[in-house]
Amino acid sequence: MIAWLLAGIVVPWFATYLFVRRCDAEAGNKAAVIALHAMLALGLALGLTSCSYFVGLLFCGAPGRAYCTVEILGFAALGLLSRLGAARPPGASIPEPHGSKVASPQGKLLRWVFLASLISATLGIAGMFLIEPHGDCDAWNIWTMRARYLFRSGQEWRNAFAPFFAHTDYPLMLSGTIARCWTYLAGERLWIPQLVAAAFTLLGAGLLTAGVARLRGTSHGWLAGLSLLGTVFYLSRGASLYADVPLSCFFLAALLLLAFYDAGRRSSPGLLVLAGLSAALAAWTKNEGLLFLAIVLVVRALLAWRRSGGRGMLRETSALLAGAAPVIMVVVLFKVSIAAENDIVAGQTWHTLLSRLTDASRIAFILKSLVETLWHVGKALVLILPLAWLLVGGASDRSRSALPGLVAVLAAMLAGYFFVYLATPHDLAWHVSSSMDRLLVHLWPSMLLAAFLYLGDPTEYIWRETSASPASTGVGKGKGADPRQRQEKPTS
Amino acid sequence: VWGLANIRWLLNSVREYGNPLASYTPTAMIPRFEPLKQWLPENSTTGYLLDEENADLETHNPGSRLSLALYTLSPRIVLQTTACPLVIVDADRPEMPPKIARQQGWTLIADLHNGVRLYRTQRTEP
Repeated sequence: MIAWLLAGIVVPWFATYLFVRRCDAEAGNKAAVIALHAMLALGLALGLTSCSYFVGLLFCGAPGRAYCTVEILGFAALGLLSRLGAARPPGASIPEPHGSKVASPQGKLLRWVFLASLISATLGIAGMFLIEPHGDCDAWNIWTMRARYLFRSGQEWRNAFAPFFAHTDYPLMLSGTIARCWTYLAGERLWIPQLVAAAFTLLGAGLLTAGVARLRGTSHGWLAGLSLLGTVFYLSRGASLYADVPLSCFFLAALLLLAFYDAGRRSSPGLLVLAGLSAALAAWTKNEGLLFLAIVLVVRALLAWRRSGGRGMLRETSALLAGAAPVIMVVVLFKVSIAAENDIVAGQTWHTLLSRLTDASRIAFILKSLVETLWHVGKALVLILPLAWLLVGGASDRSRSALPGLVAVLAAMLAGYFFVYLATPHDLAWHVSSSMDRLLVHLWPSMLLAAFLYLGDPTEYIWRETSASPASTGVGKGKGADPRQRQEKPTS
Repeated sequence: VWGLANIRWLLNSVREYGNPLASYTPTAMIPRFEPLKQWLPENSTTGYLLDEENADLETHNPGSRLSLALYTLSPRIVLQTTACPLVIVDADRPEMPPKIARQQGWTLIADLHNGVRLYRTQRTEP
């Protein structure tokens, strides 16, 4: 049975990896790029297989061995198709980040600190699983509960969406992934939801590290990864078996791929296809992902139109939609055939909505809670990052060209969440206290991505401070000693 | 230094692991319902009643208890109603039989001696 599960994970993972390689062929064959592609492929493969599981349930009923065989063969065929035809030749579409080849002592130290932090985070997550193997309230109340009903009910799997269950409109990425793994195992094991949760939690840190390293250099990547691994709230939400951390992974993957596209000199539209796919998988993970998908499509269309006119907008939007379309179809299928009405939308009238939207006390309460929650989630890092900027300044390389799109999406997401709180029919204090920290977790890895794309490289700053003497560099005290100036005019 | 902040979290979880399990956690609650499976056919619908007089409501949220019953007994359907042929009565004091069962003349099918009892209501003939 474990062999079936391994095949059910490894074959789709490898097939998706080949697809990712095909879409981002020009990134080359360096170990770091291969690792980044493998991590992207793992997240995408888990998302895609949960889609195929749902489609199988809907059209063929309770899945068995035949389903497993067909699915494995289907993904193997997808992998083979990805190998057909000529791919774009490898080349440095993204300029080599400044300092990426500098083996500074700080960079080596950071690598070891990152490794220690990764081990500590992994052990901490495992510790949480030992304390509460079923996860926190929403895990057994929504996500794993639904997986159990999908897996255990056989042909009566629609019982998982009976009206007495909470939030039956929530999409199926997480529950579907868990139930699918149990199907391959032909038995229910508690370590499956734990494994999925741990995979997504560590994947977020891995993607951020490898992505920032590709855009800004290796030391910067380690720092970004450490920032996320040091965010204990992110790790604890991941270990609670909720869908918030997987959602944050898909947000991060989509924004990272868009950043690669923007930072490249002649970027492949394949990156946009992958970004569209990641954004659509976010929509298949939680309803907040639907907002994200819509915002990404609109923001990217506007940016492309501003940069290269109507044809450019059409080209970019088509590529994004080409990646997103298969998953969007699955989401629509789920919403039309299974899902109940959303609890925030249900029972809204224009009159009550308008009165809520114009209530100044609600606006003030949400803003105050947002500041408090940002501190609760990010803790001292909320202060450390601006201080680091004051010390080392901002980056000046091409990766900064990815920032406008990234910041626009994040700002629009925050505005969207703000609007949802403003309009909520639930008790506002309860709704905010029960969800705002998790909503910030959705955006936290992407916020760190934006921060580290903007921030100059502190290790480079320290390296120069310690290694370069005033006589050899010609930089002494006074105007030339301003680290921000030096960051923006790096020596070769 | 920030990146190593999670070591404190790890140490906290190690400390917490040594503590006795709180009675309201799923790990503690799930075994309470588990034995009921032998009396409840799969895909059946069963009623659920929280005996509030004999339940510790400060640590046990009623909605959470029902959810844990559903989670444990899935794929069986458990509804918060007594209008079913079989009804689970959930309490924390096993020595106190629920008043409603006596008043309604329900038949005891199973007593798990942990406060959870399964009754047949008068709605169906035995």
